[in-house]
Amino acid sequence: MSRPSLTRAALALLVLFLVPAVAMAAGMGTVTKVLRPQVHTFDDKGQPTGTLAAADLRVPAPIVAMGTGGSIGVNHDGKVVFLRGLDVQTEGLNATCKPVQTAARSSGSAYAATNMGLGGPADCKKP
Amino acid sequence: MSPTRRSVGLGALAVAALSAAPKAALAYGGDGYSVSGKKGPYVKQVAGRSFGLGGAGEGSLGLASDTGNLGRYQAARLRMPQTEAKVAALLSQIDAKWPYAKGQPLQVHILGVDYYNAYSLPDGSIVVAFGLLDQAQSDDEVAFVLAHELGHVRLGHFARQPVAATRQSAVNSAAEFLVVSSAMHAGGMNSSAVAAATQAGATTDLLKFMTTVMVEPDHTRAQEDEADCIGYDLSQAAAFSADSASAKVFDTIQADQQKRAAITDTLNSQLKAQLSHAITSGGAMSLITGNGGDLRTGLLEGAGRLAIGVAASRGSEPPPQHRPPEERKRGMAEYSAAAYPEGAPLRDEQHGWLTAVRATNEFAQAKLAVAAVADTQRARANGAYADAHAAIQRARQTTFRNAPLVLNESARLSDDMGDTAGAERLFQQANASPDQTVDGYVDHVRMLFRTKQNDRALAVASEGVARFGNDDKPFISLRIAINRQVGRTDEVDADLQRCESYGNPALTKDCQLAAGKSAQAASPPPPPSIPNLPFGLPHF
Repeated sequence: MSRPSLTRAALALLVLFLVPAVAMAAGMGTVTKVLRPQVHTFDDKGQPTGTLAAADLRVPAPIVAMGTGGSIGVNHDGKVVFLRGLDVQTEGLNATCKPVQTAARSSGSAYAATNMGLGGPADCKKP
Repeated sequence: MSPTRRSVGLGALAVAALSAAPKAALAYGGDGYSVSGKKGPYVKQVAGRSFGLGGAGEGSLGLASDTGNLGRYQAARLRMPQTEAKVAALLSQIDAKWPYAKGQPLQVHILGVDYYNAYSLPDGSIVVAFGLLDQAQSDDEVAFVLAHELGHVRLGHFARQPVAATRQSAVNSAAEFLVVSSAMHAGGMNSSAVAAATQAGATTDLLKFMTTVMVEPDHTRAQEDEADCIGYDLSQAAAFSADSASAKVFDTIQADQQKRAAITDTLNSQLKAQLSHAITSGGAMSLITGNGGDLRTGLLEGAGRLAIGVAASRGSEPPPQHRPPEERKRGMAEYSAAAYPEGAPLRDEQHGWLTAVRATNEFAQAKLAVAAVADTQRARANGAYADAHAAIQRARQTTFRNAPLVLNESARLSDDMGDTAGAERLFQQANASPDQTVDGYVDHVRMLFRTKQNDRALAVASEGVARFGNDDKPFISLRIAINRQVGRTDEVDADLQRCESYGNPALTKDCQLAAGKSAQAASPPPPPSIPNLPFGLPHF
């Protein structure tokens, strides 16, 4: 095993670990569950791009981007795909919450995070 | 929610939908989603259905001729021409996506309440609470709510249901009537009992307002599901973000209901304490009938009915035709995933329309007036008359100073504070408005009765009956009490017979109490059953 290839492997490993870590550090949270056996996928402009079987997405999946209409970007097969907020459950989304949304979730709810519904007060940014 | 709980919930949801309306079997989600076996957006599935296209007064089984079914007679209405025009334009944009014949011309009315809500009526009225426009976070939210209500109108949901008991309010009943009657005969009462009775009257006013201001003819649960689906389809077709907006709408409804449930709980406890004080202090209640025991029973029964009404309006116990907001949100997600197999485009929510709506002086003035009237109502119920006076003055400094919403509350406050002449002037001013409400008339008659201006009270009652479709139900128990007060027993008996013929148990009980028929009044009340309550329930 040559020295350059070792470096490349190390770099790849580093990226694999760093990307999610950076995403978490950025406070975008993770997708903890896909709520339907099959969900639609979208591009960052909100246009449908196809479907994704829930089993094909390894969770928890770091959220790497937010797209149009509050869609949630996760890495899949080497690219970012966007999912409807209503199709996934998230944790630590760190969204900007409206008081009314926080009130509606005062007792907590495991369903549908993101700015569409929020998973609970824990998904709101701490003041 | 765990997977098990979710599947149980979805199963129950599907069963409920199927059992609610076999002809419009709608089950959200996946393979279960269909109407008569069809797939695709719901608005396409209903092709070929008869929607009951008649105009007001026809095609709706005559429902539209009932006062409660006409938007222009809704309580707390505020005339806001600029805002109404903007809402109508938005509604028109959505209605343009309805692909079938349009029977009813649409009208928009605004209610001066801070509820996040809207409802529709058989005459094609879409009644929007000011609070919806004030609290919505995006144009898309308002569009989804309007599209839902439009769904009720366009699908002809009013054509298939029995006449609603809208505004035949159980809370316009013995508690209200007798509590204030006790104050009327205050000669023998000590001052604290009078104060408690007056405050109980104000608390009852507020509870009644809160539980009846946003009502409409009841829809079935299947009809609500249909309207949710149509709401999604039409708002999405009109280029709004149906996914995220519907979710926010359901969340906000939940928060709004929780907030109101907490307020009504507090008011309910407050009313019980006030009633208790008014009843036990000095035994002066017996001045009315000479039989304090019977009156006490009737009063407590009335309070009990009021409590049931409060329970029915609680957010934690949603109206039976509606699923809980969280379930509706999940249902919409399932529906849209199944109805649009290729995926419906996602959109960012917009704010331009709301910004324009809120930019007018009309909106700013309405915001002040709505908040000030609500503050007045709360302060009156607490007996904080200085605060109430300051609050109503804020409302009277707005451009809505001549709206019955402001005038009636101002009159009630003047009456509570002992300024009967001032209250009379204000009620008269409100009666002269085309927007005067049934409740305004009833309260006016009540005050005249209490101050023993019997002929005038009967005249105002007659005016009210004539004005609201010759429907005397809101006035009949008062009319009995007035005639009893002046010793016209023939009129009392005739009205009592007429009252009983309406077949409304709560109304019958009020009439019997007003007529002094204590034996029947003291009979045990039927067990509370929310679906059978003789009044409508908060909508959306």
